[in-house]
Amino acid sequence: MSLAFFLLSGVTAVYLAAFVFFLREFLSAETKSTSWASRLIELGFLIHTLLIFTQTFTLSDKLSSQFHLPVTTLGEASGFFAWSLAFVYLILLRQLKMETFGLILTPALVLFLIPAFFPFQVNPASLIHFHDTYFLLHILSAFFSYASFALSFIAALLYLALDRALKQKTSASFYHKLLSLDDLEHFIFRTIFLGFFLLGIAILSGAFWSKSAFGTFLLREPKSFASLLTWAVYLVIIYLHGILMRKGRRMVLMSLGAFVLVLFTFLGTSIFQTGLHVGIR
Amino acid sequence: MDLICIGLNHKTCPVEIREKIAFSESALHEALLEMRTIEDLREWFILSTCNRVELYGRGLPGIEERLIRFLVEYHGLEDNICQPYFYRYRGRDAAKHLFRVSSGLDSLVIGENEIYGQIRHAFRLANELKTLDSILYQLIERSLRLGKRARSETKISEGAVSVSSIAVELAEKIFGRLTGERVLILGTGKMSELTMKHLVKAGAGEITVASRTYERALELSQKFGAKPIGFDAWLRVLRTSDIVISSTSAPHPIVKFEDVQSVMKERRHKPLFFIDIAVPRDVDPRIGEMDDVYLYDIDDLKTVSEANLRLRKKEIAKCEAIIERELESFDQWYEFLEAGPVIQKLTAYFDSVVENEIAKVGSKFKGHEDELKILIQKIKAGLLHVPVEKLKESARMGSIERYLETLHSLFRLEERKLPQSEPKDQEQPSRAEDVH
Repeated sequence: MSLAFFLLSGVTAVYLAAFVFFLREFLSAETKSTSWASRLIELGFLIHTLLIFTQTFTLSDKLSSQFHLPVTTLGEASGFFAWSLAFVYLILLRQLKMETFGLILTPALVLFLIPAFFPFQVNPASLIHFHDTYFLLHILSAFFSYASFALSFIAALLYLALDRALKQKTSASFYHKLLSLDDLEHFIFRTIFLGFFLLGIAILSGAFWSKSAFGTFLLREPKSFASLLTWAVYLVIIYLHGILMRKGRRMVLMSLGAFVLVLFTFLGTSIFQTGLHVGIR
Repeated sequence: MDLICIGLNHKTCPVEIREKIAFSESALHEALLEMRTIEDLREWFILSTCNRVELYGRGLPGIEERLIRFLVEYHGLEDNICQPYFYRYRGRDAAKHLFRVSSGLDSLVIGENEIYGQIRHAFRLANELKTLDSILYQLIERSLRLGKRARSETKISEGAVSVSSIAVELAEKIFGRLTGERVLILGTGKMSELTMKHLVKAGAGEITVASRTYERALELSQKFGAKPIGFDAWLRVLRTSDIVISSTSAPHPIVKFEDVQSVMKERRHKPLFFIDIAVPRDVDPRIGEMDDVYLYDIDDLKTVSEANLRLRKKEIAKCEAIIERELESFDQWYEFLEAGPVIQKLTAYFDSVVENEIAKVGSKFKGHEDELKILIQKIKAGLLHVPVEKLKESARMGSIERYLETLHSLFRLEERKLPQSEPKDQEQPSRAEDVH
């Protein structure tokens, strides 16, 4: 058993344990100041970070090149996305952390880790670009922005669930441990803003990488256009919420709609094209 | 166990009697002092709330009737009127009753928190007036700990059950922790006032009161530092309000669908929470179907209350289990308490034996005096360890008396006196000045 496989199994087990603890804490009456589930998710993230380092150096060694992020296969990309989700939630959004959020986040993390257990073919087209700093920045910011949007999506689902519970007026037991609508809305739009900012960096760094690698700032392929469209849609959402002060359910539904576009950009565009955007083929 | 409890509560006694037998703060103080005159009563405290009046103490059988007579005479009531409403608990049952009371199982609203504070207050007063000794002190302290545990380890007090607290809980689910949300009051009913009071306590901000009678709006406003307005101006204020409490006596809805529809556009769909306590309803029910508008009428609030109560009732069994464990622990503590004097006498016996022998050989001992003392302490500790542990174990098993008798006869302990310099009861708990 390789070290990477051992770490991957470890992180999956820890996230699963965190989910069980989150569930227990959600169902129990006790409100503990130190949550075991939160500690476990942090431990899982640490192990996962170690895994990413191991994969990065193993890969660089194996492919005899300078530096490789583990995003060269679908499995690696999926695992790296799980790490990005945890990174954005635990590090970039640490002030907005919410105990009950882990209940949905941990199974999502496990879900994204599952493909990493299976071998996928390496996309050779991507390998030659890893020496380019713009390319690395492009990859990292794109993953972090997708992770931010995914977190806003989870919060939006919680918002709609709570909104429904409040409208139905009977399921009081459900929302006792859930956050308020206001807190969830705050979280949704903070993560959207962060994702929008990071996607902007991803687009810009991607343009510079494209210029140096292919001589053009804009590659005429679906993912590039889909990314620009996603960025524009989120710009509209931020304008409506931040400048026109639009609030409430419709804005949340709009953010859900925008996330569908994120999914299309991240995964769907690979239907039309393979090769250039690494890991998704 | 000579613990006793007599009392009456909302289950056994109508409010007309309860209100006559309840103690005011000053009367409680006086009564606690006056209870010193009750013959054979050892330690006592009074728990007096709007739902119960209970006297706890220690004494031989028969003391219960003297306590009831004291209560009746103190309030100048006729004995035969009150007698049927009293309950009497003795020993373990008395302890169990206090544990059930402190965890909210005996309350009118199961799991309510107020009783916990009331017991703590009664405890502090009795402690200040020095009417408590070791056993009752320990019992109340344990009941307070238990009350806390029951509320934190079960869902017995989860979910609001009164209309006003449900309103606050819902408002917090919509707006988060209340930090200056604006409240509009339509009508000046008692329930509106109570709900407003709860919201203000929770952190709601500017309050505007609209009433058809401006004087009543003014009167209510002065109580809470609110702003009174004429009834024709409420729609204008609605645009900037977050929470609306309505309890007018209007025969038709006064808050109309179209009005709220246009208000929501102006508010850019910032959530709006209506609490309609009026019957007939003040707010058009269709408003509740709008996005970002949350409308709760009196029936909805009752439904939430019932759901929360059902949730609490499901937790009763868990609470009872916690109480049972605490009772067992209290029983053990109580039983072991009886062993205290025996252990002291046994220690004194060993001391005297060792001292006699040391006196005989003392001059021949060549070592340091401190070393000798340490050696003696070690020997005594070693000799006492097994019997004391065995006594503890037998206290747990409920068979301590047999062991105490054996120790008495083996070492003729009844012939020995308790050492004067030692505290009367070694195993008594140390009293905390402050009970949390």
